[in-house]
Amino acid sequence: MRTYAVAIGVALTLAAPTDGAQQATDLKKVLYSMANSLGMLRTLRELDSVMTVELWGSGTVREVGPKSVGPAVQVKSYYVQLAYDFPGMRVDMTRASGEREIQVVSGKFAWNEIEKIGGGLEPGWGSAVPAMDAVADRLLRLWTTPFGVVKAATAAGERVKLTVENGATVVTFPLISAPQPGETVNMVVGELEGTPVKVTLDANSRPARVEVRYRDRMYVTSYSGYGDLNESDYKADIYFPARVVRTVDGQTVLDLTIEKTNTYNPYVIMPVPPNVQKVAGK
Amino acid sequence: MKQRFVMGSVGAAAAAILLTSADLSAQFGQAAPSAAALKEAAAAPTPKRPNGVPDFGGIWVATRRRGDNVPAALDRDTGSFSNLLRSRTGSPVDFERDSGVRQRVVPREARPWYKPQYWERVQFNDVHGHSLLAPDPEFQCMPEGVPRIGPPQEILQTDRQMVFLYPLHLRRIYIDGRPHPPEDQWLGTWFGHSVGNWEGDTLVISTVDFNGLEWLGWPGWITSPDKRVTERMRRVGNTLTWEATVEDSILMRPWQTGPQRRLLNTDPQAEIEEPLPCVERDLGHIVTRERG
Repeated sequence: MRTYAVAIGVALTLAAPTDGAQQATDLKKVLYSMANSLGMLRTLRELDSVMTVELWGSGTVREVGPKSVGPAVQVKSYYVQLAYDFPGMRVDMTRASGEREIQVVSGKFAWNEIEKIGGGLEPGWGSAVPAMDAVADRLLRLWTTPFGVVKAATAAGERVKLTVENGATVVTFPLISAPQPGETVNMVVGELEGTPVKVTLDANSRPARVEVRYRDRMYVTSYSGYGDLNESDYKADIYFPARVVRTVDGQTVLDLTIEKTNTYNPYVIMPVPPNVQKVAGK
Repeated sequence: MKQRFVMGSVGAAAAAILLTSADLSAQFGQAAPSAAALKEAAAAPTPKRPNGVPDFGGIWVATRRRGDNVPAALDRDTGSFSNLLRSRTGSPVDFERDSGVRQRVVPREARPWYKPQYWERVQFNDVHGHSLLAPDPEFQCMPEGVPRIGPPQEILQTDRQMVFLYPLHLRRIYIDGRPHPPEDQWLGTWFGHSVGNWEGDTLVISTVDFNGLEWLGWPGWITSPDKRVTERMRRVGNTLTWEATVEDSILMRPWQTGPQRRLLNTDPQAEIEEPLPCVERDLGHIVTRERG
């Protein structure tokens, strides 16, 4: 109820001319409302307490090439680990054909794990293939998740702008590095530094559409069907969209149905394999 | 059902705070000594034993005077307990969920880095820690092990050994120069075999011979019988600093607890009350996997 009240209040406020101080107040309210409506703020002190997340889904993907996208491929299993504190992301997808691909980004390193999650970290436990060209794209996917945009907007501070488009609140901000080791967010953006992000909020102040123009390409991610997708005996009151659709230059490259989440800050780590560190150091 | 269960457990939770495990301290926000109190205590002379080593003997946690054991949240006028639940809404459900989310906020450098073949098991234990599928040993009233049990509540010291007293357990640290027993004589125990040596005024305790059943921490952090723990303790004035490093074949790198500080209780009349026994009665009644 409080979320609705804040959202309505902000909408009404935005409709009227505002001075700088008022705008700052509105910004604080909107950022608060975004985080609150996703269930990120916990304890009496209302601290951002979302650090790591697991999600499970299925759908279709299309490989994004330098200038084109590949054919749509059915993915029967799409398992994701998000770690805003590293920051890092691991996507473990198994196509309908049985082919498995594990993509990882951790800070300024990216690689693909072969055969097993954690491949390349221990002798005899899979392997890792460096994919340093993918760092920016994978970090972009992390920071444009619903929790990611709240954290990134908060880090942008005074550079966040608030507008109203077609009756919806729109938040724009540049991605800015703001390393905070030890916190629930560690804003490392690498090559994405300064990249503008535009977030359109739904009626509940949750991100509904995230637009980013990067390297002359337009990336749009749409989120809908928010809910506490944790299992019925493991609810956390933290909300994630059940449907995620991502387009690149208007072509759908990801259409996911999220079936389950674990939002209790699960044990997720992404140590960089030695061979990836070695390649990246050259 | 769940709400009734939690409400009924509030009193037990308050009592559990007094059990002073490291986890519970973190969970319930047990007050740490103030900076001013630490500074004053550190300025006191550090007593030495006749053989020249620092004297660690004493009670190292705050205690209450006999009869002064009324919980702070009791309103004496009304006889009612005020809300002890540290959640945004004060509701028992949020207490569990807020705490469950918040307690798992452990910075990356403070988390043990397990080898990847153990990641799934840690995740499973975390999700099922309060169920019969993978119960947290501490939740079953098993000993916490080392270093989860943290610094001792009281230390008794002779030239031959130090005895660390905890609310429900004790450990013996042999400081007479003996080595650990040979590996083929290890027993596999909750607290292992501990020997201590002095590095200047710092007591360095080496502990081996664990059973591998104990966890390092609440979020499913397992151990193996290969675990080796090095604790470092230093007394400065009336302060005691403790920290531990864990090496284990299932970890990618050593894990450190971070330092904890304690103040000496200088009250000559200080007593430690008999703690409540730990009796597990909850597992069979828990209907969700939420835990906080």
